[in-house]
Amino acid sequence: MHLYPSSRRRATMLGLALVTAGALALTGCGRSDDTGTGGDGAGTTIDDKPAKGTVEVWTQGADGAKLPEMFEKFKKDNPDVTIKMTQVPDTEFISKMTAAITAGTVPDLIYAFTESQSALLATDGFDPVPDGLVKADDFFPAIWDNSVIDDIAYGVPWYAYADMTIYRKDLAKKAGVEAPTDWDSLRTFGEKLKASGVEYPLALYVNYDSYTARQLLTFAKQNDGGFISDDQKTWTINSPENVEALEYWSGLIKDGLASPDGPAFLDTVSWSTTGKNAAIIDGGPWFIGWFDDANGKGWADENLDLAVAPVGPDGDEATTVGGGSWFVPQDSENKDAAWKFARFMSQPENQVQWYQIFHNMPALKAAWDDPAMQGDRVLDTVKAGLETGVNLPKVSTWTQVGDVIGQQIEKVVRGGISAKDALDEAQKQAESIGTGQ
Amino acid sequence: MKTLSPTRQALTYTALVVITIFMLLPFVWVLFGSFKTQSEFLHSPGAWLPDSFQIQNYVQLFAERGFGNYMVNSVIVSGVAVVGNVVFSAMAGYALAKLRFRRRALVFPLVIAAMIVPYVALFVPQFMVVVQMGLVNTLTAIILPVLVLPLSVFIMRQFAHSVPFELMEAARLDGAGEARLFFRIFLPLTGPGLATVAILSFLTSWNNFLWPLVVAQSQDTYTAPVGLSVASQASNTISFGLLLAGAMVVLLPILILFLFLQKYFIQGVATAGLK
Repeated sequence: MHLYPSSRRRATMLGLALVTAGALALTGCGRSDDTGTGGDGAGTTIDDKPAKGTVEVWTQGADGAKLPEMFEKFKKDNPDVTIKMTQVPDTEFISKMTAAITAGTVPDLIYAFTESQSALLATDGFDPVPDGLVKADDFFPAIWDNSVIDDIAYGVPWYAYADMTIYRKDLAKKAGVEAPTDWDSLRTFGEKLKASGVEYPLALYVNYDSYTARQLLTFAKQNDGGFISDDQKTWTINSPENVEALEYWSGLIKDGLASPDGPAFLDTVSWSTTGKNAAIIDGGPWFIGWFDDANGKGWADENLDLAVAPVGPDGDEATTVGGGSWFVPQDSENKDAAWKFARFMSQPENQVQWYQIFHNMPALKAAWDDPAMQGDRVLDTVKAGLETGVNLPKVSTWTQVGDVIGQQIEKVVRGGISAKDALDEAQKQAESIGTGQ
Repeated sequence: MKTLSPTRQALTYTALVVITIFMLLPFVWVLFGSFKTQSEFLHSPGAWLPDSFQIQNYVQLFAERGFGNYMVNSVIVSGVAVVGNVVFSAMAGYALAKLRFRRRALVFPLVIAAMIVPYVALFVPQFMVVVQMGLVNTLTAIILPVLVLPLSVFIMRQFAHSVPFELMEAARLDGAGEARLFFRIFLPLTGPGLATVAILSFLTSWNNFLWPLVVAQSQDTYTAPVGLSVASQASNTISFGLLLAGAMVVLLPILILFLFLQKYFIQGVATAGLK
């Protein structure tokens, strides 16, 4: 996952990424005529012989610091392989990668988080997953589908997470409420907590950008809505279902059940610890560890309860999910070894081992059957959420459009415009931005 | 010069002290934050003082995150950039202001144009040039675009105008050649301009982030800002203590340079636009 960089920086980075992607076409450095582009992996197979040669891997986020432990394990069965790793700042990974694709100076293997996969795949600079390397059905659909464009899979899922409702059990008990299970009970949950003295019972994302838009998307999906058509070609931002979802979401804030001014990312833990908030709606599993970091080991077990995301009025389930997948650039000089490492990382025992090393949870369903993955309430809640994961729009302009949606959401909360007008305007702007396809 | 009454003087100083404290507050927060643990950030993100002053962030930065190497790279890049800017922009400023040559009138507008064009528009072609030159993943590639900055040429051209023609003509009559004029007459009289160029070019190259990030394709060639961005990445968040400690380390050379050259810098900034 994914820090929450400032909108300004992200806008600059996106601009650079788009300029770079444009340059691909202008300079003729795109890969559309190269071998394998647009293929479906047919004709490309990876054998079971040991990998050889040097594999250059670019990593992002903190994962890279621990990955060498997995490299070492891989090298036991592949002694003739050398892995060279470079850590790249994750907020600028797209810029660096698109520039490298433009110039043909790519590494052999990368992983990309769900949020950045569309922008990267829009460069047309990656190979499809070879036939038979992995089986799509083995992975949680939301994570697998995230790197599928026009029915072609480009990424091998590595890890996955699902958000959840994280709430203070003592405050809930005092207010006499149970975990919310649907929209109605979520509102009641907030109202009763408010009545019991909690200033802002619910913590919602308050940076009005693409991350807020992602949260609204989850609510929209719970209401049978969505931001883009199934073929990813038409924006459907102002559909009645989405308008209803925004009315519900913004109503929680307008009625004082959540604050429009916080918590921002960093103070999420402190707001809940001090009781200013009672529940993080749509919170990542890493928050549990953060509570222990801030308040001492065992604090989360003692004070917090967890629940899967509530369902919509008609019982539709949807959960915010994310994760990471492995990708091989078309100009990779050692695709064979790169795909072999991606395959290695998608084996159940290795995904479990990675969880034990770094606490990133498996994207492979079978890995969750391992004894190491049993009897933990966080794992159980995440697993339930992964089954109902929501994909972000798989278009290169998503971040840009997401920011537009976020800005319009803010106008509903602070500017007094209606949810319908806000999403009509977002739809209009999104149509002018396009889908990048 | 008119002097202020004691009361007005006291008020002025009080106002200046208050403004100074206000402006220093973020810096102080960063400084104190660099001694905090990650859990302190999570528990009380707005707190000013750390529970106890831990130097762990600084130790970790250098011992585990390879920050020393990044700093060395930054020093090399910025050092060469400063020398390049001082030397070449002085020569360019001298030529533009004091020498007569064909198409001279066209050159200066080009320098201004180079200052105006947004960096984003130059980024990709610049990168392609470096790739074609085979310089990707070298410090040379990081240095090249900042070796002569248009702003430096602009500043030195403005300063060159302040050197009287009469003085140079007198030296010419005494038999001085162009080289002697440049080194013995021109350069000593443009000291504040050179100091300004040195500081600005140092700041530009020292703080440069995006270009080194893209050009440096292995961590061996990362500069301090890029290395800091990597070093501060922690599991699912930023390691705030490391980030702030790194910010302090990165800030130090700039502070030192400014302390040594501030007299010339202020003089340079104050007079650059008057020429």
